[in-house]
Amino acid sequence: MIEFRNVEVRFGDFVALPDFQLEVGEGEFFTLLGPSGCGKSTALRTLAGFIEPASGQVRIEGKDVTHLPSHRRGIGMVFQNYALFPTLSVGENIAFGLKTAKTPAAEVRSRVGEIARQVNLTPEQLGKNVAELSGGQQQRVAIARALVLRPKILLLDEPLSNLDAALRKQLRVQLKELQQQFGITSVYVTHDQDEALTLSDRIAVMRDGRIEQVATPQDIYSRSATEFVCNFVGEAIRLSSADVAVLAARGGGVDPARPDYLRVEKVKIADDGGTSPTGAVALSGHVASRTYHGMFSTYRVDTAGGQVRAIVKEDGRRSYAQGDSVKVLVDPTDVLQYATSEPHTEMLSEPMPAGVAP
Amino acid sequence: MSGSLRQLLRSPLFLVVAVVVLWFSAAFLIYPSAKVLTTVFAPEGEFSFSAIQRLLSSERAMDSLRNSFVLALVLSMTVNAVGIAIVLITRYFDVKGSRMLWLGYATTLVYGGIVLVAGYKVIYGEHGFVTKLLQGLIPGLDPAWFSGMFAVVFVMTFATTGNHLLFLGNALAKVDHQTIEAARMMGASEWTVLRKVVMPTLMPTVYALTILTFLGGLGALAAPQVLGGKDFQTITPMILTFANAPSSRDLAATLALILGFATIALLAVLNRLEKGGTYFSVSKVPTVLQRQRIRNPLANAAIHVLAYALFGVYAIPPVLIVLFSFTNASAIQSATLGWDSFTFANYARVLTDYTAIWPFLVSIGYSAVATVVVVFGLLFVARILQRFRGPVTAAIEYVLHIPWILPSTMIALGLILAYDHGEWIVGNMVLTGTVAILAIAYVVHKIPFTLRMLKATFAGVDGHLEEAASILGAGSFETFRRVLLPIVAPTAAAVAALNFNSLLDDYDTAVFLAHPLYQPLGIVIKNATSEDTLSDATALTFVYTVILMVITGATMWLVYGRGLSRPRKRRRRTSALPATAKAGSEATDPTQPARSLAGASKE
Repeated sequence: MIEFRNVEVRFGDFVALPDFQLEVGEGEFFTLLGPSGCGKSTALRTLAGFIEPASGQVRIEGKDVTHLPSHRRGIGMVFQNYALFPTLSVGENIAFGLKTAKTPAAEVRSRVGEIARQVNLTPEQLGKNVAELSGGQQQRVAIARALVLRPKILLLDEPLSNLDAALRKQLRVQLKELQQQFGITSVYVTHDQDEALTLSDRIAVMRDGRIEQVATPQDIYSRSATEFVCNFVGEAIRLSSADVAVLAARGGGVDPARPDYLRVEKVKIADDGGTSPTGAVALSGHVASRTYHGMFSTYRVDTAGGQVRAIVKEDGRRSYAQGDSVKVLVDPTDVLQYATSEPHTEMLSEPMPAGVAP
Repeated sequence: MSGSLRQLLRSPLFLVVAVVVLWFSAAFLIYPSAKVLTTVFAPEGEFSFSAIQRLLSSERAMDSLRNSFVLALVLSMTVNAVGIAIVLITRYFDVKGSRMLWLGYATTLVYGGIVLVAGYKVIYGEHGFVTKLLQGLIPGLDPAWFSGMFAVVFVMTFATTGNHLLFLGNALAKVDHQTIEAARMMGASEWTVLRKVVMPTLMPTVYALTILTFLGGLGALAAPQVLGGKDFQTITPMILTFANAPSSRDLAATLALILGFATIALLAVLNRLEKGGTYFSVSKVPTVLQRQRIRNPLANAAIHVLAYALFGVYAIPPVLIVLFSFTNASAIQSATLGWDSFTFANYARVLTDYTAIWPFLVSIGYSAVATVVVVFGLLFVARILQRFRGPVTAAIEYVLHIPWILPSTMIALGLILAYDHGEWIVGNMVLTGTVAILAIAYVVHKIPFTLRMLKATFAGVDGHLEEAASILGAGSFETFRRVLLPIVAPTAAAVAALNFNSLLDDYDTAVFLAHPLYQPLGIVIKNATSEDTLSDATALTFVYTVILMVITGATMWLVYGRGLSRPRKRRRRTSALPATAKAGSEATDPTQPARSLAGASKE
């Protein structure tokens, strides 16, 4: 459906997208995920036609659209701040594209009414000024305005980023429902991993203008292809060489020469004297700190090899205090190993909680 | 060819606008300025210093130069002293009746320029009401006591503190109250807090206002001309005198050039100062400044006395002007007011007598034409400059700011010199002496302010709106018409209102360029002050002044006050002016060079 072929985007001397390649299937909810400046918005804006690549091709349904103006690409877009026209009413905003296309007035009315119903906007709201609507309602107006032209593709540029956390969660669900209702191919840009994991059929994790991994949310999380993806998505700890050595010595099948990571929820803590589950390797240590979060607690345990962090679900039965002797249980099959260590150590070093001595 | 220029050339509409702008800039901004230079340095076609030598040998010219610099220097001190005092009284100290005091001090925002100068002359001058009253108290008082440098400094001091009231007031409001509390907790006295904590944060604004005051003094026209007498004439009145005779226009050009160089030099200093250190609050959560109680009873009493004495100085002239607009000339001249002195005849005459209302109609006509042309034209220009950024558009923008850099006197003189004969660039027409030249000068005069406001508004429009319109199929003109224009319309309307307002009582440009049969209000008011005795014309001047005050007050309220008076339920439109313009009008924008003080002259 969508294809980037060897696309290169430059801003002066800076290469924002070097040799960018990507394919998005029909009906997919595809997300470009990455930190600020990774090139995800540049890729989206190139697809939208706002940026012309220096080389390469952008193809939609097999047709080269690289040099087509944005309104002839058959796409709709929802902007980060929605970009609703402040001097037009809700209805006028939605009808803008239809009027520009010189659609007969009767058809404009009927299509605006139809799309408004589909996105749950009332006829009264259509007469209102956009500034009078809530953030969620504005988002629906932006979606309606984009969809009323019946585009083949919907682009969404961080449309939830300006909202508070509760509303964001609520709108995430609505967004997914709308996408499924219309069955429209959607490309979504975000730096929020939760959003990406919740909404997407597939995710492309980007860094420095390049794609690190394209996969389903499950694979991105549990089978992160690169050290960067492992660190960017979810929470992972890098095992110290001493701990890796212990795991290796006990037949864990880990390679001490490679960087090894563990998702924090995979690390277990047990009483020092207790028995270990089959296959688990135990590392002895002392609780350095415990931070209570309600549903779970975060423990920092000093082992012989260094400090290990673990997230433990709070079931009210057992908890440990600072200084308690515990054993950290690690299943060697949960260890994520990468070929080479990458210069992103700042993402691996974990900040100490307040009041805890390093 | 840069990408932005290539894009511009693709749009026929923008191409036409670009051609018109280039022609207008060349014909009315660059060529007249160049003409002043050639008049000074090549009067006979060859390079020569003869004009400068003639100027140096002219005692009157050298006196005027010296007087101008002295006036500028003295005003820098007096305006700051009074300006800082009224800001502290109305915004910092806990002075009883501060709102009323503010209104009194702000009267110069609604009447200024020649209107204010004429008002002072009629009230304090030889035949003035106050002079008559004083002569009753002091029999030997010289009737011409209110003239010369003292009168000029007095009037210009109180006329130009409006800038302080707006901009220094705004700067003071940004002082974080917690810094004052912190200083207090460390044992600082009220005086120390003011000196060490508050004043340093105000210094950039004070520097800017000082330079603008200096420039205002340097280019002053109405006040020295009306009140200076023959012993205290300054550069601009002298330029006017020299410009009237073709044989001495080279001297006028030389003086204008000196004024221009001084303006450019001081603006360069201002720019450097603005780039200086960080004086504003660095607090992440600043608290609102609270008025400071003066604990020392003596100091408190002294501040209150000063506050109300200043209130009297500010408020008495406009109050008397309103009062006398309802009286006959004999009441004004004899300084006696009885019930039978009051009449509506002056107003009736202005409204019914064609000759009385004519100057008003001329001023309204000129102001309206210039305002419509400049705002409508610059809507497109501002859009082009904001959208197509590159060396060519940057150069055009610089050229369009020439009227901010050069004194209006020099621009007016440049137009006279450039078009007192036919030139191909304007179709070989002679413009000097025609009705059109003043309208052109007004358009030129209003370009920088209008451009700045409109460009700032376009820049403030969310760029995604254009992208959204483009993805929905709208072309560049349709996007401009349906999306951008409705958003910038409130600002355009506000700028138009302010432009119209400030041109209505213009004198400084009109006195150089006005057609003898189409004399605008400013000139008629000035002429009324030149008469030896008070007459019906004086009473009419008061009526003109009152009407101007009402129009200015209404404009200020429409542009600035309306949004503050009541919360609006529906925010269908964006605010009237961009944030950069919120604090005051063009005539009071401290980032705008000398025109505010010297030109449209709130003297």
